[in-house]
Amino acid sequence: MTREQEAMAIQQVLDGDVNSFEPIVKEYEKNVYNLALKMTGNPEDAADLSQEAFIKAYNSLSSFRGDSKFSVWLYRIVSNLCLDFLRSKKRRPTVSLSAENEDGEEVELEIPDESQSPEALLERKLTREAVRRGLDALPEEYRQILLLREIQGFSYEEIAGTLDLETGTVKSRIFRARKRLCAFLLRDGNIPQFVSSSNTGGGDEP
Amino acid sequence: MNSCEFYQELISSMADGELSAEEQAVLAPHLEHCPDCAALYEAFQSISGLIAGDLAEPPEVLSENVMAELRRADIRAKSRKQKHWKGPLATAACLAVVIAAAWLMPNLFRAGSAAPAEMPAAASDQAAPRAEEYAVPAEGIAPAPAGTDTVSAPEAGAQEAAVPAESAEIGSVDEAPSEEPDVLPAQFTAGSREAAVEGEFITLEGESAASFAALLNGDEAQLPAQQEDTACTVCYSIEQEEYRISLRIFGQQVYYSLDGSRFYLSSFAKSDFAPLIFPKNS
Repeated sequence: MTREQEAMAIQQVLDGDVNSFEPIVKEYEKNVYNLALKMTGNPEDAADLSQEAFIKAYNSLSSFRGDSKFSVWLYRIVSNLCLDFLRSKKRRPTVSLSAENEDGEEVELEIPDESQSPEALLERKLTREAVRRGLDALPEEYRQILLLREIQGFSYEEIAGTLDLETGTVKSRIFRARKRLCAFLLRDGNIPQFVSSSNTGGGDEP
Repeated sequence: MNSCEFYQELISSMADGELSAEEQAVLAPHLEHCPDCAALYEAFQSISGLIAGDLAEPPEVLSENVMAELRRADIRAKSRKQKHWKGPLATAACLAVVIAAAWLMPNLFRAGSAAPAEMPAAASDQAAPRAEEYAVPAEGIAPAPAGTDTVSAPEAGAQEAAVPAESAEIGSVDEAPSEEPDVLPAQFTAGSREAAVEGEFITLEGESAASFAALLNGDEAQLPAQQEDTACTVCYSIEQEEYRISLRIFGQQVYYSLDGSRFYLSSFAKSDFAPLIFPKNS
């Protein structure tokens, strides 16, 4: 679907033709579903949230201004629904995005073990499954922003628009999300029990 | 790695293709000399590839479910707007309803024997000629037992117009066969057998839909109750240029709408109404 076709379909929906929404659903269902799936880690929840997101998008379509990409607008809905869902479910405690020092400044979170180098990470055979577990262990906000980048392929600017953040903040959050993921992957497999017991604590320090 | 802290964020940006020329100029020389940072870049890229390459197929029913839900909501929303529709409310009321009832519930007609005196919807003067054209036997219309719910409450106008005598008058029209309730054009029963079943929608196309439209070519009509727990509402929106009929059959609610060449029907229990729609073939 070209952007022109998409705009036309959106206009037809706004004019009252519910059936014109179908090609839009079909166009985006895969990415919407995968975003929800990676956010929740559960296929059933992902299907429910995807459906909810499309219905919400349909009902609030008149608020889509067309000044951003429709996909950006749509994934914002999906993303926020997933966050709300995870929070309400309290699957895992909310973790602040960054540690703060005594001055209240944000502090970078370190890859914990100095002996574990990125080379060690490369040597380890990374699998989709390991990455999936790593994503699941990330705080929701990190997961959300990283997925917008990795699945949807959004630019920093688009993510900033989606999440109402400064571009610089997007950049540093994505970086920190990756570092956390790397830290997890470095530990994963070696000391799984440590991981499973500590991934709710928010810290990466052993 | 701490000494490389400054470069790590740049490496992340580079993996995303978001590095400015200035940043690139700063980072490139460092990467040449720092194996850790070079490895980190590769690790970031590897992870990105693993995430992006790990996409699952959405459930096949996802889009169907979404659209079914939206269509239901759309029909509900539009039926709530009925009061804004133009056209005299009760015009052709009995006509359209009776026709619909005759098509959809012939078995009820055969069994029916009660007097039509309580039929709430009434035919107006405009409806009368058409009623003659498509009249059905009076005994076919069974009055609703008290307390029967209706899909959508008849509007005040319909209630006011509900004069028993007029209903009886409709019933007295004698052109329709007295035992055979079939007032359908032949193609409607025969051709409709070809109706495509798509998800929750049964679609009638072409002639079937057109003949249905022609027969219902009135304003709007309501039949609050046909039989126990059964109600039928027929509406025509001039603005929307479409017909909507809703039926409640034995507690199930089904919807019909007609727009252009397509007449489709949704239901929460397809099996319940299918034989009612296609009595000749069942």
